[in-house]
Amino acid sequence: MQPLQRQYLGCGYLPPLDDRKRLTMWQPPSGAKGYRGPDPTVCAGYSTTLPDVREVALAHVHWSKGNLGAVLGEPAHEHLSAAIVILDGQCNAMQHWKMTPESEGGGGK
Amino acid sequence: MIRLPSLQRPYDFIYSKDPALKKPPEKPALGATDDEVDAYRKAVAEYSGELTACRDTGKWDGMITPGEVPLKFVLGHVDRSAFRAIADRTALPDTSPQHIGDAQLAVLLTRLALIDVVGTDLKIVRSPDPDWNGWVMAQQDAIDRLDMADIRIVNEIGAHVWLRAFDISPKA
Repeated sequence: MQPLQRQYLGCGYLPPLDDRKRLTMWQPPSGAKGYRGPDPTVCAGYSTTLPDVREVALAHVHWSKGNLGAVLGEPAHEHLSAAIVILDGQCNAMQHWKMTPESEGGGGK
Repeated sequence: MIRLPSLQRPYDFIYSKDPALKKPPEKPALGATDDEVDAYRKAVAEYSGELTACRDTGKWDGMITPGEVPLKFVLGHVDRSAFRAIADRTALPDTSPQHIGDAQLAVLLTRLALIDVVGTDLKIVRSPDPDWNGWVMAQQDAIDRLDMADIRIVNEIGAHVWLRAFDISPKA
């Protein structure tokens, strides 16, 4: 893929385009019950594979089972805790969207 | 090996002007044509994007000159109560004796975050500082040594620590 194409897709390895309106990268589902947060600035494939994002995803699994402290071997730092709260909130929002019928602005049947 | 960015564990920070890194684009000479200036701006944006991606991903392979080893600043995470106290004091008016200005802020955050510097004989000793509420931090002489090498190092680390702490908030 050409660098310019990758820039249009919001590749995090390349400088961002000056004109953000021309970005054609994946967006979270919107609609009445959809995502309401800030616009993504880089491709989801880039951001979801960042080391600290993967760390939070893994920590979230253990946290959801009440086992995070044992896995870390120390109390979670507030940075990690805050990131888990963000991820958990977004997971809940996504599940809510998925359970809401399309006719009501969700993504469900 | 470079420690990957983490929200829990210490991680490595590499200074953007470390001599072991690929050289940034050279400024065009005086009297350069518009095309040359545009090409320079584009090259700077590319270089800066590459550096940001290295910091984000912890993958520095393409950025480090083969055979060279950059200094690695091992950073920990600043205690949030200390960070909040500092953030509040930066918002005080300049006339307040409790005000923390930009230069002091960079030094303070660097001292709070810095655990080690790998690749140098500089030893980082962390201990409570009575001048700063007994917060455990690197001692001032380490900062003085870094300043002697390049005064921009501390500013860059301080800015990084500040932005990272502010970026991670459920309210953001």
